[in-house]
Amino acid sequence: MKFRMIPFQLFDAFTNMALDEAIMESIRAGESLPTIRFYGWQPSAISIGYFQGLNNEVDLDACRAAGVDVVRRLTGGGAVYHDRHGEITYSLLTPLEHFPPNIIESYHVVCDDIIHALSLIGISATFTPINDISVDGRKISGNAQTRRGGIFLQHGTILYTVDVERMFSLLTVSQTKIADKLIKSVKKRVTFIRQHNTASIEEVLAALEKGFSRGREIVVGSYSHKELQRAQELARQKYGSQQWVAMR
Amino acid sequence: MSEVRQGSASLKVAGGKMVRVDVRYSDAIQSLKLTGDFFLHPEETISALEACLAGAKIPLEVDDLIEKLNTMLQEKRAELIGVTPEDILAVLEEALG
Repeated sequence: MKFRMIPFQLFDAFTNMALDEAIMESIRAGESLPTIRFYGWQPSAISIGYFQGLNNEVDLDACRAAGVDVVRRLTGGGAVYHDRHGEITYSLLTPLEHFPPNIIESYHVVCDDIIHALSLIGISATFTPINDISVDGRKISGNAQTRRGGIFLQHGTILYTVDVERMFSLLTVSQTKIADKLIKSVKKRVTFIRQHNTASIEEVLAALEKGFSRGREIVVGSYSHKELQRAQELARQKYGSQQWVAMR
Repeated sequence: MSEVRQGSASLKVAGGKMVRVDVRYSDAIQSLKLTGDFFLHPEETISALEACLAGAKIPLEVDDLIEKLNTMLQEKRAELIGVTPEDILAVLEEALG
């Protein structure tokens, strides 16, 4: 089946989440092809899951001081620190009928494309249910999914480098002692591409483009004017609003 | 009238996700909020899930409430991933002390 693939671009957190929703609307209206997009976050940002309590997860004062945006996702899952230089994010959006109804199974289908991409740069990774990809038992990619109005969305991150200390300076951890323990434990549980080889971001992106092209007819494209306009509107009215970000 | 109290508790489900409950209660649950890194499809079902537990008399009839949650999820064709109704009741009981 035919997919539009949109190469890596940087956006702010609110626009990134708004673009996913704008594309879902365009696909639903029959105006856009199923889409795979790659993107980064400028400025660096924290995204929290749909069900997470903002104040339970994020140190808002620390984020403000560091110039880090905070956005709530359409999808469940955990808080993610999206470093401007440390990760690649993707979204895959398509009519629901193209994916297995079983949620874990559909995570597996999309994650297999990422696992293939990682193999192209010499990293042997495996799918770790519910929604992660791991290398030697350590998480290298987190993913989240929603299904709305007949459209399937899975987005996720592939870690390129991780600054655990910086990440924990922005997330809520009540006691320093616990923070130290957590940092040590996260370092044991999380890995990233630069820990395994010297591939550049461009090489990783090229591998991801190949991975996501398997079994799909790909048309390299860009956002439509309507999608960009709608995303601006959603970024301003929804994703950047206190009502949405502090919803829970 | 009984005094309104507040409680909260959280649970990391083994092989699953984290769920936290913040609850206001007297002789029954006045209101509660479920948060965490779990998944629920469709996401908006969270309001119905919380509504199933609001008003429940204390001590909780745990089995009845689990059944109520399961029935609601089934009726709304909703899917809870990473935590179960049993986990939610366990963490709610802990929050109530």
